[in-house]
Amino acid sequence: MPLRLLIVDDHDVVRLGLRKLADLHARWEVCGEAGNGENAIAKVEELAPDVVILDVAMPGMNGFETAMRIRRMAPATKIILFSIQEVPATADQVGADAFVSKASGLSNLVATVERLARG
Amino acid sequence: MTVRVLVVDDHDIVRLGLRGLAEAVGDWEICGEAADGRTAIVKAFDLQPDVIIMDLTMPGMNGFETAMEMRSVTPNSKIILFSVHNLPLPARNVGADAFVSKASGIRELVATVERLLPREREAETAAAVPLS
Repeated sequence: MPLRLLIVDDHDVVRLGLRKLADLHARWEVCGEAGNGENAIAKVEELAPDVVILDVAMPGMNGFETAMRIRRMAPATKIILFSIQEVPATADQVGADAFVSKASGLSNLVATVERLARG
Repeated sequence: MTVRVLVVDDHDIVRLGLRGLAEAVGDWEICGEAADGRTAIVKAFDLQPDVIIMDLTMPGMNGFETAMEMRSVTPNSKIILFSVHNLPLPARNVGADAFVSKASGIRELVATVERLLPREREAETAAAVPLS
């Protein structure tokens, strides 16, 4: 059964990188993309992804606010904050299931997605 | 004409995205990657790429310092600073040929590469057309 991912980042080069990463994992399927928080929320409602990979710094609604709103509307969806910024508190306190620093590398992100997918 | 590109960014997700972009563009070849300035300079010297797409903020040497040193080891390479940060000066003043904001997108990056390399492309195209 595919693992359906929604990618949210205002930088299209990052979204392209995440798509390439998903291509390398047979079970991963990118079901949608969004470049800002509002679109992300609409896509979550439309697509019901298993996992949302979510940037923090975005124009308009930031990743923290977006995560909190996704949490309320789709509590079963796993949310990974993926950012160059530090998270001020634990991921759970800002409405996410995990935080992965963009500096920590793709293997960390892959491991986090797989861990959350296992439940 | 294949455009040989060296990608320099400390975030591997960005390097992967640029690989994806190269595949989409078709005539870009990622000839090398580096995650920091010092490695980038060595790779630039070894590979003599057509274009170097380089981040600004990296551990150790930043993109400005790296660009200035690269000028002497690969003087014919076009250097594009590709960053989330705004540039306080024109690209040329910091040793680069262009600046593209990551916020402005990959389309802008492709257009910038096209702009920096048109004469070489035209010359190659002219050379490839047989005289009848």
